[in-house]
Amino acid sequence: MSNPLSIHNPSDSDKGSKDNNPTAEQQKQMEAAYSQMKRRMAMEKLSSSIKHKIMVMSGKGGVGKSTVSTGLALSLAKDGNKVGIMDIDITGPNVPKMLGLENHRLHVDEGRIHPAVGPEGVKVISMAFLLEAEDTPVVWRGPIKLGAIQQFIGDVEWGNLDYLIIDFPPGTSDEPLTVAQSLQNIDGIVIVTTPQEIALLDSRKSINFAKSLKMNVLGIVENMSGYSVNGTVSDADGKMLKNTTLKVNGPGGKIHEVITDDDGNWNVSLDIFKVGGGEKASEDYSVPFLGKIPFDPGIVRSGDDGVHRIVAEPEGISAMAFDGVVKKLREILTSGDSDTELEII
Amino acid sequence: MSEIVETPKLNRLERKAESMLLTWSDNHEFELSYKTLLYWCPCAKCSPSRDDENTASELTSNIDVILFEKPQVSKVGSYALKFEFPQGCNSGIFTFERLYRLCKNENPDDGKPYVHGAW
Repeated sequence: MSNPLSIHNPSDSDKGSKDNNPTAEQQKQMEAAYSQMKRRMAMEKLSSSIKHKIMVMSGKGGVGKSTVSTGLALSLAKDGNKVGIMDIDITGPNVPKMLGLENHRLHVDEGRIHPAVGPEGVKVISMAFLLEAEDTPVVWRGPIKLGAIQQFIGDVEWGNLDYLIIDFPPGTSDEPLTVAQSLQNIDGIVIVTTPQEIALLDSRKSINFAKSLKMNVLGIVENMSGYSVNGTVSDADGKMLKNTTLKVNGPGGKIHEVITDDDGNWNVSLDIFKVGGGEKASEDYSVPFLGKIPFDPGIVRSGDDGVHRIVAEPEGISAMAFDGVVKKLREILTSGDSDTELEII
Repeated sequence: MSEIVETPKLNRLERKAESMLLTWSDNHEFELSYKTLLYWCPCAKCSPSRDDENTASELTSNIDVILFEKPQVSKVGSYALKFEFPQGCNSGIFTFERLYRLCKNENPDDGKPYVHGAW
């Protein structure tokens, strides 16, 4: 077995030229060490230049992490906050497309990467900006991904931000672990789930991940929660019928009774994917429930069109739901415990 | 991964010549020697050597000859610390739970052998 305590002495090998000038290899190593040191210093600086850092995670794919990340970012930005999104989903980066930034190219100045600026001034960094074409696959093993993530953290000129939202691929492996190790003072994790009971299992993994790394779970967001249907009822003469009871056939044959308002309008929320998985998970694991985001086909369309639902319809049901989640999130962040910092002497 | 244990918060770490004083939020203060710390290094090179008597004694001998100086200490996220000694292994990431168990003279691995990749 090799000695784990052996000391590498540069004078033993890789000797430089006779006049003690470093060899090309040594020069390269020195430059790499210098750039690593600069990156580390930049990472430390982020602690003070970014007030709140929030990780958005889920135990499984397809629950709408990027939708929630972009929704939170835009909703916070609408309130006048300076917001950035770091899209850590290296192999499936979607955030730029959702924000209409898919053809953007990053600007690099003096070794610092300047993020793209999207709607509401939200700054965005994503692997998608570095791909030649949107269908180019990123076929990287863990350590390469780790290097890219550290660059996203250390080499990006974020400036001063109120919030940095970090969007992850599903799971609890390389990506969130690297960020949790590299970024100091992360406020915590927002867990995105869907209403099914199986969400309990997936949420539990993310909650335990947070506990293992001594991070706060800021709360659970239940996405795709209920599909809102609305309409108006009138008689044969076109007169609106007020206080009239309607029966709406919902999923699974469930009949919903709704009553029209004074103007003949009616509205019902159909639980197409069941309901309450996220809320139950938050109760079972004693973590906050941040709220429900309804199933909104407009979100899908806006994701494809690059005009986010919150931007296209700032007073729509999705925008209102995100505003509710953000309100709760901000309450939790402001009531966060003011732990004393570790004193190292 | 082992069961998650609630660990008090580490409030203060004072580096001395050959050991450090750790003050925890439960008001307990412990002195932990750098030798003990390095023996229980959780890195992928040091950990397996504790699984075998011969390599464990080799590990101890290697640590015994180190002339310790105050290490550089840096936080790893919000869950661990990293120590950089002028000599010896600097790869291990020590979770606060591991440090607390070392302070209490417990085996931080519960006597289980090292499994590569199991974080």
